[in-house]
Amino acid sequence: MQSKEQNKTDSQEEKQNWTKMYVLVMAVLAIQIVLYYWFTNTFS
Amino acid sequence: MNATSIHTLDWVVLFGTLIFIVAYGVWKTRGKQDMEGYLRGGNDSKWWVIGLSIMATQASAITFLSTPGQAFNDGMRFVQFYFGLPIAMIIISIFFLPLYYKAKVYTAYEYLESRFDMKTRMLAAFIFLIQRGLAAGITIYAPSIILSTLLGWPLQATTIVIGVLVIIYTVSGGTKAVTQTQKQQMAVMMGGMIIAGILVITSLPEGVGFKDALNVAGKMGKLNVVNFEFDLTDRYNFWSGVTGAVFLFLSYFGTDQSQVQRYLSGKTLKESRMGLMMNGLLKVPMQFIILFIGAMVFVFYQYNQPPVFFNETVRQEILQSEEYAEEFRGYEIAYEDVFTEKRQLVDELNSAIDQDNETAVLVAQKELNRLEAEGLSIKENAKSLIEEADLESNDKDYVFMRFVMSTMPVGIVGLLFAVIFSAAMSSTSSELNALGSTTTIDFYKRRIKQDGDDEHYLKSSKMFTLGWGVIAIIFASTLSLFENLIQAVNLIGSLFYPIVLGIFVVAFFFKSIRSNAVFISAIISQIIVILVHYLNVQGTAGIFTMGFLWYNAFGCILVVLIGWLLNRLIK
Repeated sequence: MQSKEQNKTDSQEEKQNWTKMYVLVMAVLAIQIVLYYWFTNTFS
Repeated sequence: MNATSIHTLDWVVLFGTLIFIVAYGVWKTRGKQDMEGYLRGGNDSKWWVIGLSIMATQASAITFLSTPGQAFNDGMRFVQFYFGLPIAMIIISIFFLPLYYKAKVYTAYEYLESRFDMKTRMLAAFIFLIQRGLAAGITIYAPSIILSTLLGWPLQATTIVIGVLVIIYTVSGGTKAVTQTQKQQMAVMMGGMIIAGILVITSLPEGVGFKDALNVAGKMGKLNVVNFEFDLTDRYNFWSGVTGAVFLFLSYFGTDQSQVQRYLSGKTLKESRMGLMMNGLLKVPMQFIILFIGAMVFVFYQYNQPPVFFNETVRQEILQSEEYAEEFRGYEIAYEDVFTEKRQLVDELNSAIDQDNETAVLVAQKELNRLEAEGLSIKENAKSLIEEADLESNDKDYVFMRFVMSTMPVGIVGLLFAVIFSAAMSSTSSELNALGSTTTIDFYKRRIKQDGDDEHYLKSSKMFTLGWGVIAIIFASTLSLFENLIQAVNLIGSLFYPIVLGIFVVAFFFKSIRSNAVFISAIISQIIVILVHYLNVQGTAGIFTMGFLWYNAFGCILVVLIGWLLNRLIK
């Protein structure tokens, strides 16, 4: 019973970690787009 | 610029790199093998190896030959096409990957049998074999035609060199050899491009700083990286990148065995996911850097006289022709005159920017862009003449390597040729590996011989991989007879990919839709996509007027909608 609970907590934690990873990937993309937009406007 | 201008050291660097990679691939995978190891690389790949392998598979020689030329001509807006890639990586990581792992499949199409039935699996696997089989020939042929011109080799010899080198390690070591060699190939590609980037900037004339170069490129429309204007007819803008391109990347990375096989070699689900995330993080900046190099090559040619036509071999041929030489020489002189005028204006533009004189900047910019258009028109005339003389009029793909061969130091030229060969080999090896696996697992083992042992299927996989390699070389060698095939193969990809993606989307997200419904829906959708394409070519598609990129979204949604409707009708 305790092990089941433990597994559930682990998988919950893993899910949260992956969600953080996906947010990070999207944030990096968003930052790049902002920088590229700045780059386009600054030098054009 | 021809083979004689290539120094002995460059040949040593080029062949040394290629032979080292092939030998490393064969040596790393020597000894006893089994099917698991041959098709899934023994499932021991780390995340960064998977990430590099995914990137190396996608990076073909044309990526390095064409992309800088694309920025040179059209600016950097092509990078927006890749904005959809990280989104697709996340979707595949959440939905596709766990199901492939759970089903313990060798190929993506195997999963379709457990979800639907054998005929749906066969349909998807068959579409893959046709599409990827033709593409493997193109992956060898397209760089061969350019490399043979630059190196002065016969076209067929170049095709055979690339094909045979790939076959040696892909057949002998399977997925593991592909993955191991892709590490070295990616190192060569990334190292080569970083060195090229630095050397392009340092090759600008004295007194022209990095900021000046950015100003010239920007004011002449080459740093147009992001455009938020919504326009369905514009192939590359922010919106097409984050919508249409997502479907294309989902199809390619999620359902094409040449990519699926890369991340199925992961040690664990976590390692495979991390590999996908690595691709999602690095691909956009990588494309940005390659395009930026092209933009800097453009700046270089604002200070140094560019040729009116970058393929030197064709230029020499036309200059020797009695019929066309005089007219072509006329275009060259006119192009030189335009350059002289532009050269002066570039200096005026930079000093106006330094003095913050906005009016003078606008005047210089307007005049520069007028001269640029004039130069382009001369170039187009020269190209038309080349076409009339029945010679190859492709100019864009020669821009970067012509620049490399005329300006880069000895040794680096060889390294950059090694980059192009490595890219051609890395994508071809993944393709042959996936074609061999799909033929063995989805057809031979499933339909022809079900009672073979592990060793039998291992041998069969090697034979099928070899067979596909030979087909790819033969196809690449005869392609020159059918120039339009390149276009045809790209078209086949755009027409068939969306249907396979649609089948997988139904499999993953619409659990109630059954096999007959999805199978019939796939066939009906395929007919509709082909019909819509036909109407687009005729210019009579009405509300269905769309570019190639949108076929992916359109076809995929069709499969789902028709499948859902049929599912309600078919008991």
